[in-house]
Amino acid sequence: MEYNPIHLDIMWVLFATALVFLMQAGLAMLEAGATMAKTQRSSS
Amino acid sequence: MKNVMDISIGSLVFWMVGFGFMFGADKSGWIGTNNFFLSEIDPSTDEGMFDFAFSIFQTVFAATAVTIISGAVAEKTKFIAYLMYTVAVTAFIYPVFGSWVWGGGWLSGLGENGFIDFAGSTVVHSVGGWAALAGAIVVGPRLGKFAADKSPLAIPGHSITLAALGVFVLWFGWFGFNAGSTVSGNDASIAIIMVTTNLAAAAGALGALSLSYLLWKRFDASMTLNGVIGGLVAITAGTANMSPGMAALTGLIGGMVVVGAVLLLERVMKVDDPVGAIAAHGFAGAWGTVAVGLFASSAYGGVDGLFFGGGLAQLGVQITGVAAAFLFVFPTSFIVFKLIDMTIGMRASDEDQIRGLDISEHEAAGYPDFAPALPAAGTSATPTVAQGSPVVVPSGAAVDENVGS
Repeated sequence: MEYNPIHLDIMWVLFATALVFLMQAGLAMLEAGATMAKTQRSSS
Repeated sequence: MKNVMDISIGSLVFWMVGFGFMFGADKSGWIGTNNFFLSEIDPSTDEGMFDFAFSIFQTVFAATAVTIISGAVAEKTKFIAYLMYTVAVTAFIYPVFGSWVWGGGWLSGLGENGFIDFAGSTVVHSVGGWAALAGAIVVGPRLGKFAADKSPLAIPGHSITLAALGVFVLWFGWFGFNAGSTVSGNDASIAIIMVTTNLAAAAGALGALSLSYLLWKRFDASMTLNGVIGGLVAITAGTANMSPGMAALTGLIGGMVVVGAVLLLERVMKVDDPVGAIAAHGFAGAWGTVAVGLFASSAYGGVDGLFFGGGLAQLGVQITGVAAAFLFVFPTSFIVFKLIDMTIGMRASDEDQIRGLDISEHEAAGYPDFAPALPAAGTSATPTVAQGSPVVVPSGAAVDENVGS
């Protein structure tokens, strides 16, 4: 297959997408930690 | 459940309509009009495949914006009401403002260089923050947040450890948020973006730590976590347009803005934001967007701010964008929250808040084996602290447990 610069763009955007997806976990853990023990199912 | 469901609902809704409103063909400059369900993308070409990659990248951005709101309404909002506004934000409010900036709309054409919000200090974070402000106002404060004389009381989070892990994960993910926003792996500026992002986060922690120490003479853990988020949110707009030094300064001030905004919200506006999302995302995002007009330097992104000889032009454009975000997002989301409140109700009852939403909404405890031990019947042991009585804490400590989300 011939080289196409867009392949690197796709790789980069998908890699960054995975990192940003992980931010959902970060926000969920931050929110769970910052709230009371009785609202954990609700917050996370 | 709230964070799990907002990425789930957000992914589906953004695919169906949000992406089209944000990036569809836009003749008016106000809203996109096609590419709903990604119907315009040609899957037979590499370019089409890039468009799919771009769409999933934008989907996780939309989910980030909506999840900010969950922090500000945590512990007091009905689950079904949360699901409904998740739809409204990812289908309409976030995409419409996004189209003005990133979808070729009117803000992107303002002035010589357009409104600069590289990865979304305003488009993602302020939009989420202002919607969170509207939500927090409509739902009202948690039971026991404010004393009878309206002074704020501390409702401590149950695990600063989890909160710290969350902040580390966010910091890590932010490298993708900012550097990924080149949407090109062939763009070498991803290197400087990583540098400015990291410096701003570090300086944000220092800013919040030092300001809270000046105010209260203690090293405040949750304010410092807040400051990391504030620094990251602030640099998100100018991450490709600033020198490392100016990025650190932007982050430092961003961390301080968070502390000030928490005080403003709790002491003056009497708004209860359980995790500090409005301060860290709304206020720090607005600051970071304005900072581009001050600190941008043409050696990095081709635009000069006020302090680098660019005059007031770009600063004016940045302020216009920040104001537009507030003036569009706050009223529209206030109306959405009010409509939900008037139909099915936003706020969990006092009784449900006392039992905890885990029991009232999900009918199971979050930590079932960690229920407080009660004395056996007939023994002399008696609880020393009356259950549910609010503990009045001295001024300053009242904000200790606010952590940005």
